[in-house]
Amino acid sequence: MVTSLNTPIPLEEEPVYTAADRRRMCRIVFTFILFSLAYSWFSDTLVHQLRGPVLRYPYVDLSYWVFHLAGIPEFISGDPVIAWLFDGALVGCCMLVLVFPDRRIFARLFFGLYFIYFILFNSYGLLHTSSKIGILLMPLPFLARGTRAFGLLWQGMRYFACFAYADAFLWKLFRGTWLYAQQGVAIIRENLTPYLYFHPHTLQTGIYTWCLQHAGFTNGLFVAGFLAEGFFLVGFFTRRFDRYLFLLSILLPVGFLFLSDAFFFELIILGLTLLDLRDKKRVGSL
Amino acid sequence: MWKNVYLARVYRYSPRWFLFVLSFALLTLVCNIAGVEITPFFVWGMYSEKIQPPASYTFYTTTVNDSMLVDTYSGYPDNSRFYLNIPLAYYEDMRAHAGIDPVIPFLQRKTGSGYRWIRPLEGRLFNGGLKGRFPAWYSRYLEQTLAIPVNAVKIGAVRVHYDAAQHLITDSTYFVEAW
Repeated sequence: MVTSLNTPIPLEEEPVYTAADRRRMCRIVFTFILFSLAYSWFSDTLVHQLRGPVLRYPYVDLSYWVFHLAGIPEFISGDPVIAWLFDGALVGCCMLVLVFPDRRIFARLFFGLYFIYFILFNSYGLLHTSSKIGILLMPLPFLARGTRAFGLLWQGMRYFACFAYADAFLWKLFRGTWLYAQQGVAIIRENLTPYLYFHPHTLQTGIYTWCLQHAGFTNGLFVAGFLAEGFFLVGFFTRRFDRYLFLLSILLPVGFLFLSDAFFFELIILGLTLLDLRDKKRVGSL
Repeated sequence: MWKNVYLARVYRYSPRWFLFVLSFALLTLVCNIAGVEITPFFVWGMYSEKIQPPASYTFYTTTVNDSMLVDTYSGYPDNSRFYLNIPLAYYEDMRAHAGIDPVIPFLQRKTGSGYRWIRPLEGRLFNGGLKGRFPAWYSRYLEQTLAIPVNAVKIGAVRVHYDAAQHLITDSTYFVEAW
């Protein structure tokens, strides 16, 4: 199936992927993942860097309960040697996928190891953050045998990307948060008060203070983000706007960072499914 | 038209895969309706609850080796700040409530008499008996992030509020704990 550079594939048509496409896409995705792991290393949050954490937070997520009841996070993080080995295996598997993208065993191992890391990071961080969900799920298409199965799962991940943002929109819609005039200001205050205290004279503090003084503007930013999330509903019906959705998938984490001091850039990996990565020229055109 | 929708294509490829994809979608939907996240069936409801701005805000400060105030907003990646701030606040919250993990009373409220099934698992799921263990870990993690030996840690708290012009006013700063 050949499509021109500017014509998105209709949703009812199934893109055809070659083994070379799958390899290229695998390398793009796992390069992103490797950067995410490097970020974890720089931010002292790989397992061996957590130095045997003692507080855990399974909360009401039954998957976390199963992991903690089995003692898996405690076993891995409790011993420095095991923690080092775990991190080595995690990063090593990611690199092996990059070198041998056709060997599914490495992607499978990586997926299993990252699932454990995901639970461990969120449980010992005392907050079930969504930022690493994209990294957790994006290897899934590369576990499949054959390019047809890969293509179907890749499209499934595209729907998941649209769902993630659309779901955030629907939660705010049904809870009426978008009509609540204090939400933007409240989010800044909740997350940035210590920053404003420690850095009273920076440009950034000046900007945040201005935002707090102009609640209408700040809430406008929140509502703009809400509408941008809602735009992802379009993705369930057509691919025509995928490049705009991809741009939004980059802009939204910028908004999250500004309003709530939340680093959600790892979620951009989900946005890759909105691009047609089969042809290098297409990637370049964006 | 319907024969070309995504799920129909998955079904034609493999009914087993169709069941897998459909189950994932349905379980995600059920979790969202119930408002309960069970990884990997995620609920994307962050900041969808209306936040009532409180009259004042309290946050913790950490001073290392009697002289170095740890300013997590300068030169720390977001994840480091996350790990330096949230566990400390959680621990101090537990200390303020007789060392009880706040998830326990929350679950007791939600499950009522059903909590008797969870109680035997408390020791493996929730936090308790942290006296000494948390300070030791926090010192180790500070050493990791600061890359210096940590011999003494002092935890303080700051209470602030916003005036009518949205300027930050410090109400009090006080000592919380030291080790």
